[in-house]
Amino acid sequence: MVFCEECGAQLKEGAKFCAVCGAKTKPNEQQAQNSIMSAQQQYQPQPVKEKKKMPAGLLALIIVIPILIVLAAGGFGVYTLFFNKPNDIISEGKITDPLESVSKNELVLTGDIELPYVSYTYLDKKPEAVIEFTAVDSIFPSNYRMMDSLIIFTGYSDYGELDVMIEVEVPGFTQLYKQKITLGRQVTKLRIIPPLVTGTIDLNMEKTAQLVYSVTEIDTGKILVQESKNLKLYSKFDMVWGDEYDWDAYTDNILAWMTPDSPEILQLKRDAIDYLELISDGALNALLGYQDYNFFDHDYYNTWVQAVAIQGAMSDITKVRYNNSHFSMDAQQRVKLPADTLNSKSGLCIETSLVMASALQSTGMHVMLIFPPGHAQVAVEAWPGTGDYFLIETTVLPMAQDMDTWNNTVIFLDSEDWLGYITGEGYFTYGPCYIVDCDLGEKLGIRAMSN
Amino acid sequence: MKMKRIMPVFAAVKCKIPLMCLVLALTLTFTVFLQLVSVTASNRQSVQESLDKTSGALAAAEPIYQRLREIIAEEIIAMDLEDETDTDIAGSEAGYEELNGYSKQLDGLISGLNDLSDDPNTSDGKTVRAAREYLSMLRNMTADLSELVRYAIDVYYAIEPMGMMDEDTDEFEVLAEAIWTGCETTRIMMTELKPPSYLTITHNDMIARITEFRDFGEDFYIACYMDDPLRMYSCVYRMNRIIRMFNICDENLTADMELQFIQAERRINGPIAQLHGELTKNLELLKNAQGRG
Repeated sequence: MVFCEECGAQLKEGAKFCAVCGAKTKPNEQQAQNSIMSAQQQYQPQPVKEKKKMPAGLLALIIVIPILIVLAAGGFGVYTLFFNKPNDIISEGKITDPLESVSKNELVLTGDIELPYVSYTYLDKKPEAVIEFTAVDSIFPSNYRMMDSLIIFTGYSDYGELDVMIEVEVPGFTQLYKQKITLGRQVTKLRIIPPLVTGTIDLNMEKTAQLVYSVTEIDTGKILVQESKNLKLYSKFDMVWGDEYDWDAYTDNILAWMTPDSPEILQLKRDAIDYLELISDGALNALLGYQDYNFFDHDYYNTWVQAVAIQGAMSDITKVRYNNSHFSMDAQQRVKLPADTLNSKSGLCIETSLVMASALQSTGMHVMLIFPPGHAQVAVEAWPGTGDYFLIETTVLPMAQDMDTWNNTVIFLDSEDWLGYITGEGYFTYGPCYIVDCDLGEKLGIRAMSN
Repeated sequence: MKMKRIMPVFAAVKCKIPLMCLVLALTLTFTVFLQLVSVTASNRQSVQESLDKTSGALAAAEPIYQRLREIIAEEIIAMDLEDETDTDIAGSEAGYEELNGYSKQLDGLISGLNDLSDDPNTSDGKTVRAAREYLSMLRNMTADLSELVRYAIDVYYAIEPMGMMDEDTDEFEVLAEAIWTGCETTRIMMTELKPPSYLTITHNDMIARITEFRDFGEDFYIACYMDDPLRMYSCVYRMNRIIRMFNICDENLTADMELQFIQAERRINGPIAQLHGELTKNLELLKNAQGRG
């Protein structure tokens, strides 16, 4: 039952105006829906009640009845136009989707035109994200910073754009990577490398780690993807020299083992100064790098004596000993970092070479790692820009304190000798050598994990 | 008396009220019917115009839709035959122009539908909306493909100088200088390019790799100049890494570009084809219904 909002009189069903005061009425939902339904039911005019009497004051009703007849006959377009309120009935009747009240085969009215109901799947759909992750199975921690990606995210959204938050983490190894992106019709591809955690990470042993990743819809908080997978986290000592395409493509990654700024290398340098003082009877008491001690008659000796002092400190003060075990660049190899070599007082050729190279580089000298087959040595440029080098055999541990030993440990080779040595065609050679210039770390973006 | 004079007037008026009401009602009804006739004609005409314009725009877009499908299908096939296909840069330039032409045509078709009602509660309005969406999807696709093709062409020209590095010479210094010059020219050209947003990271990675290559050329030149065997050999070995890294980056860039073509294929054969099919079917339905009306 409906009442007039103005005078409170009871209204007849479907009345547009109050029969008492003539005020315009607001059709309720049911009325509106009934109007639509009745209009759609074969377009029969609303039945006009028999007029027995024409009471005065029913002017409005008289006006309304023909209009209702017209409405019923012509459909909503006329109503709409007449009252100049488009979609009045539809909106008031809360019929926003014709599907709610009209079956697919019924007609939808456009003005007075009877058109079949049509639907468009695309327009009715909400944005839908399609997401894919591809992750690695293992990580070599010391080479982590040189990895192309830890996980690759690929995603797009159909039926509109979608803001999402991507999160990736290897708890205990990396920090939480968070990236907000908008997915759209084009494919977004991200090669993700979350930053390493700060502080010390226990990576002395190989272990299993969890790669955790998720994608969340920002507006709704809906989780679209939440997964984790196991991956093998190798120890920080594990090194891969190449891949199936190229056996030595990543040899330069060994530069990640160079730690010229580590406390252990700085301590070794202090020990080297002690050794230098000892062998020079106090005449030399600093590691000057490429600066002249004004002590020798040739610049090259400045370099030579510092290399001898570092090897001597490693031998006699730190007391590192050579571990004559197998070393090969053909496969995966365990290589200790200089700090671990010094602390464990034992090292393979590659490990003692890395200690020497790190210490020399720490003094500002130009150093190279020399890899004859199955072996590793160091070359240091005798004086900057000369192209002449000393070859350093770092496995001479312990090293006797005499000139012959020193000369056989830090050996000067001229350009021709070097060519023969590294090509494996000289009289003094192990075979063809692989050479890594230690100054390339920065240029190639290779950094130690701990730096 | 006055009352009597007034009252009859009033009474006369009063007794005429029903008649006046009837006349008024008839007048109004007549007016309404006149409006109805006019509105009916107007609406019929407007719906007719709406459907005609919409189907006209779709008919005009049909060759573009079919051609886009062809272009994408050809690209997908070419991806599989990449090693056996020569780069047809002239063809790509023509393709770029063709796509740009389609973009302009589609812009025109979309704006042609701008003045039509897209009332989502009516079938014709909904169809106009769907048609606009469909044309926009085609327009976006031509824009996306055109941006991608333009970038691919620009990269092709940018890396051309690097292809001229293989000087036929025994002089290492000449070779090193050619490497440096080629890489530096390429680096500058690549830096000036504006990649599609989804390729920005890979593009910048590519520039970093080219810079490494250029630095290699510089170091190799110095090594040759100094006649320093250690520097020279370290450069030679470093070359392995640089080429390997460059190839990985190149593969990533190619894969990322191919991914967009694969996505374009999925879109044109998926959502776009679906909307295309629904529009074709519904427009026929609506036009038939109107024909009956």
